[in-house]
Amino acid sequence: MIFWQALTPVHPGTGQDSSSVIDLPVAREAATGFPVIPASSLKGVLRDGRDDEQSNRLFGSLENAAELTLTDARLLLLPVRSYAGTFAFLTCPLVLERLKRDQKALGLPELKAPIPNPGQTEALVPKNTQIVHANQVILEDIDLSATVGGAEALAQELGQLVFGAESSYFVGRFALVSNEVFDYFCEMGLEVIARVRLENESKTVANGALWYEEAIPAETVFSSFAIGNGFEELNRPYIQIGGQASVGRGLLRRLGGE
Amino acid sequence: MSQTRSQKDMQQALELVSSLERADPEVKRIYGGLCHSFPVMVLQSGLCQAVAFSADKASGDGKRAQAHQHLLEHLGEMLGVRGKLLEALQSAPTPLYMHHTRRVLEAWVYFKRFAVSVLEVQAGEDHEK
Repeated sequence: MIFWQALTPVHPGTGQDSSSVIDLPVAREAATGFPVIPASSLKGVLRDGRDDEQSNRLFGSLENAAELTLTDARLLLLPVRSYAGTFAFLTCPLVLERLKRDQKALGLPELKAPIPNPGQTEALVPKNTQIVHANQVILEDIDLSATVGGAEALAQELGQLVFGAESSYFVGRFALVSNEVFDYFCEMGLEVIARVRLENESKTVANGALWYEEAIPAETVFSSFAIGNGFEELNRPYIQIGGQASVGRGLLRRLGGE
Repeated sequence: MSQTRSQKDMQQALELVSSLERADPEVKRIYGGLCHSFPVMVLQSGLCQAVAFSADKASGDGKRAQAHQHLLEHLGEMLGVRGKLLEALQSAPTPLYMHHTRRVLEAWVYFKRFAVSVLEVQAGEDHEK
């Protein structure tokens, strides 16, 4: 299992989408609507454009199936602006149950901490939290009542699993929220960037040349898994993924994992 | 057989946007621009702030104020909120507020489309300050 953290906003694009108010939205899972980095994007980057015999064997070719299997990088922790503590790392029971299911499928040790179900207006946080103000976790324009200590075991275990030595950076900002609240921020908490094309002569916006792009924010953590052993391509500490590399999008670092 | 939510949204958006087809050209242009920019404002600042911005702009008699008045009326119709929209949003419990936000974004896809096809206003034609 591999964890990836976005160091800059990521745009795994889908092209134009007529079902969104955003012209260029990010890829999302069909069933949940959570942002996702498709496995094909990860595979393309790890392959790095190589077409030699070894890469054909590992990543596949027209003649051969790949030896290495990669999955989509799923959302694990979503950073959301917080009144206290600058930002919060959010996750929800559904995401953690799926992580456990993946761990079981791969034969890895499963999360041991219980996964409580927060109420729709509640955020469960560990004891050493930085994101509580006046008994509330205030996220964007949503105020949730804080249950301090309600996610102690989860925060500690996830912190070690994903962030290792940097665990305290995560624990102080961790909040477990309901599936509905998480879903809401997956829709509302992403970056929206206005882009324009200027007329050469006047340097004003060309007619109809204003569009909006969506990006998964920096700090987001994804989980994915790779099936197969001994592939040095997987050991890269940093990768660039998705569109708009020239404007700094898509830089990911590898975290923890087994 | 009942209709899908999407069908109902499309029908309602078409009726509301079309009601401005013969409006003053400047009001129509500003309203059409708002159809493009309003959902982005909701995503960036939240529904309450976006509606408060519009309510502020709607006070007065100018053509921009008229366009914002239409926008607020249409939002209220779409959300099924009777009376003052901003007050209703401010007093809504969190789950209802989240629901309203998501309904606006879902339905607004059609307002954007009809701003182009019915009112013939492209994104960026109205430069709101």
